[in-house]
Amino acid sequence: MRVNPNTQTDMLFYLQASQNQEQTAIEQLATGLRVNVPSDDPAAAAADVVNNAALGADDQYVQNIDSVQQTMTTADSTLSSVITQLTQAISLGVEGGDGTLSDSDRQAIAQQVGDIKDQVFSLANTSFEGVYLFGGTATSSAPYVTDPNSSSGVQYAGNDLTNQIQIGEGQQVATSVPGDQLFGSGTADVFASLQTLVNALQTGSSSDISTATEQLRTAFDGVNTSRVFYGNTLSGLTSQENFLGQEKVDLQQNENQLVAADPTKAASDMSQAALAQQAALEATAKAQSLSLLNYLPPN
Amino acid sequence: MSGLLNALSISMSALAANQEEVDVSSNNLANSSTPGYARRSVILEEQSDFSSGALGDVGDGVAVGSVQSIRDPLLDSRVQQETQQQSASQEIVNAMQPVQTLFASGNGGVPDAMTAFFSSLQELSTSPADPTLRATVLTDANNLASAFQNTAAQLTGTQQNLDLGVTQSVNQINQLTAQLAQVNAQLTSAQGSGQSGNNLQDQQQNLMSQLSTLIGFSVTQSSEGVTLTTANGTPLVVGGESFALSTAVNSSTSFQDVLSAQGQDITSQITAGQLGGMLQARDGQIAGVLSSLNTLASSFAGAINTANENGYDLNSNKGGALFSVTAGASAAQSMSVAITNPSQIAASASATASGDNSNLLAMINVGSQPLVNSQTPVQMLSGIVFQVGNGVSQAQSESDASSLMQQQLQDEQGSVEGVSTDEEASNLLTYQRAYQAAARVVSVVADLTLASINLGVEKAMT
Repeated sequence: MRVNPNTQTDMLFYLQASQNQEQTAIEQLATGLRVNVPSDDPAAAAADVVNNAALGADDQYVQNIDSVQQTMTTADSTLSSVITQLTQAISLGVEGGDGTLSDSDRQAIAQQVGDIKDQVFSLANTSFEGVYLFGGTATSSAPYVTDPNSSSGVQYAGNDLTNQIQIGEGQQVATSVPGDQLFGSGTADVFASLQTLVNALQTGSSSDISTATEQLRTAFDGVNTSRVFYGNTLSGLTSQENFLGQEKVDLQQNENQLVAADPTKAASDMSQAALAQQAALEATAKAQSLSLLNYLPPN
Repeated sequence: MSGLLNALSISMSALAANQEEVDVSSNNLANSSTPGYARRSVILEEQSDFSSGALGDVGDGVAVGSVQSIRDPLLDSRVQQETQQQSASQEIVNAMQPVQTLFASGNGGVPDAMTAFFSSLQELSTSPADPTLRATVLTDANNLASAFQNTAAQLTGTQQNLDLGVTQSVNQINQLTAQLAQVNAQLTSAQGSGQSGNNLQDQQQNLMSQLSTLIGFSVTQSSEGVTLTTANGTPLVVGGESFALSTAVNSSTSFQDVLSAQGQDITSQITAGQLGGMLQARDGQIAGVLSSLNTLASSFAGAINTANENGYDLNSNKGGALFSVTAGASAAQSMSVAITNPSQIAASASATASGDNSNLLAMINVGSQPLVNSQTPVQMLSGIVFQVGNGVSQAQSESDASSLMQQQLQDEQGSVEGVSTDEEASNLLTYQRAYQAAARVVSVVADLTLASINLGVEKAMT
């Protein structure tokens, strides 16, 4: 049987083939990726786009949580100070309700409760990095302003809205409680209650004082209850952060499965390709010397 | 006497025939790597005399009947067909390879830029009035617009390069078909005057295999030589006449259409050869990717704009368009950011609450809501990546399969038509021996003639 005498093109073809395989293996080893361009595995490359977007989103959810955690922790500790102040005001109210106290003693206590009201007013206007914490979504100006026309002397200038942020796919969480909800509104609010107590201590009877103290206690309970939101949300954020951490690990594993090279396989592919290439090279070199012309006698 | 002289003339014919064989062998060796060359073989014919001896025909020596090229037309044509397929798919791979790196992840392409854009929107949602975060959103919006622009520009640039290639290919095709027609005419006239035209056939094959890398065609033989037509029947060469293709700018695509000699638009019918590959990549693969990218750019920009227009910016003004996009065929390439001041990002749903982020959440939602054909922007991008990758991968496997097939066919072709130096060496040996033998006969006849002239007297003549 006659065979193709031109072995060159065959040799070249197989040399190129083994060279290609070797290059692929080298590329996989060098980049650690099985899919370096979409055509390496179109379906995996396409799935990787979605997976990458999910990874990016998870990174950002964690970032979102970190960002609001600081603000919310500040809000929570501010409210803790408010609670301390109000607890003290209630103690002062109880103390002032004692019928045996002199007027001047009661005036002194009224003064202290008035100071507490100023403190709470200032705490309610706390800002963090230029953002007022208790004005709802009206964050650029102080939520509580002094108002001589109001019986409490204080007016709420914020709104009753609250921002949500995304902390997961389709998961949103409110980041604040508006001031009017935290500190109460109308006659039941913290400032009105404190002012009523000051007034009662200054001019009222023992029973007025104890009524005012009870009213303050109700307002205090309101703050305490609303404050729970911050604690709960903060602990929820921490567990969400852990969840996201786990989800990211899963997504990264998924990414590895989609596009990462198997180093063992790539290394073995490479040595196989190298071997094949060496064999092809040797065969090419040997074949060059094979010719009948070399064996014929000179004459 | 006549008997001896007859032997002399027989051996003279043998010497001539052997010489011809050596000539052909030597020509085979000389052309062992000439493209299109098929090995030739001497067809010897026995010469018979008309004077039959008493014991029957002796024979009258040998004559060279013809010198034949050893060819398998079917194999030749299969190699051509496979070359046409292989060239087309390889051309698509070549055109798409650089394009697909634009869509590889981690390359700062549209997918990465879009993830970054949504991340900065998210970040801004945690503090909607923050000027630094607002500026970041604007930067990332600009990056996203640039990514769309660059990707589209690269795709268009590739199309334009291919378009240039189309014109060049058509010129090359015309040159080859003109040459082929000329060779056809020469071959017909040579064969008409009884010549084999072997060398013209070789040239014909060579031209056809060159043409196979450029365009797909089928070959038919007729009395006036070969006829080459494209897949849809447009004639390229009919015997001694060639029909030049031409190109003309298509006013709607602004790319070159390929026209037949009759002026008919045959662009979409050319699928094989380099030209076919270029046209497929230009009008098929790349045009498809560009169109998907444009759809994404305009629908995405539209949705973000609508969201921004629904809200209020930092100065309590109603928001405007965030992106500016020309609708249609150049949407992606025209994409830019329409606002320059970060305060114009309409984060708030309320004119009075500058710290509100609910409109930002609406903008972020664009990322996870179905945009076109119930696909989210990321799903659309993922689809484009698949489109690009699959296009290259399919063309690559077609090219690989064709290469292998081509290789096998060329092997078969070589086994029939190729010049084997071993074979020629062995033939030469045979011819040499035959020549020596015939020469020996001449010398024997000379001796015998001498003997008969001298009539046994040995010293008279030498």
